[in-house]
Amino acid sequence: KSQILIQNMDTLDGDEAQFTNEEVDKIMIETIEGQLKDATYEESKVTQWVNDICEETMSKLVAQGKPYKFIVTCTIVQKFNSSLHHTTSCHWETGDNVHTVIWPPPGTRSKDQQNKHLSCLLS
Amino acid sequence: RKQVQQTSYSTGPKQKFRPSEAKQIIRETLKSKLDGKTYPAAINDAHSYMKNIAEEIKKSLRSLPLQRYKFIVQVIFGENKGQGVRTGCRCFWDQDADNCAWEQYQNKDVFCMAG
Repeated sequence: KSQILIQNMDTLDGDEAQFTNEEVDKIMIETIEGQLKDATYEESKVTQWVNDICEETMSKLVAQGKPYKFIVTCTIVQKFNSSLHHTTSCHWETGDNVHTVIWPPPGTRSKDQQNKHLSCLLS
Repeated sequence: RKQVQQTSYSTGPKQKFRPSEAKQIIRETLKSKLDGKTYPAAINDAHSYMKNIAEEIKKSLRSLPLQRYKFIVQVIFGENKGQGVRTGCRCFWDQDADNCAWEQYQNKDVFCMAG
């Protein structure tokens, strides 16, 4: 069994072992839309949403089978005519990366996509 | 007679990351940077507050005697208007060696979470 495991790891070289921005973006947006589409901010539900989004994103990333450790952070803010800032400062090596997604995406005008009650930031 | 050589590599960190130390550092940085501050009118000022805080925390963590550790510092900063905010975090790492530390700060005008 251990021999098969080593073989699998050997087949991941250079490009295959890395994530592209598009892959990660797709996973993150699908997860958020699955949980928050058409939702209104509710204090009682928000903890569950945050937990579910984090768990789902994490399991989808791990399922890709790439040799990385992951940290997923999700913030849900009630829309209140105020602004929120998020920054990441990292001490790591080349090959590591951070990808942040805001939902709904800024600048969307279509009523379908715009959620008037809450915003979600996932990184 | 065979000479047995001892292995010279280590499979884990000599000194592990202690969340309590990091929490202390984060708490002090947030307090020193944000005590008595109001939410800046210009967006660029808010950006520079945050970058400052994140860089300061990262610098302090790097000065700890921890070898071979990578650090990721996240700062969430906003105006305190009584709105609801909830943050969650999930991590997939080595339970023995890796850890995280989050702290929050708020005054009547701003709130900030850093970890």
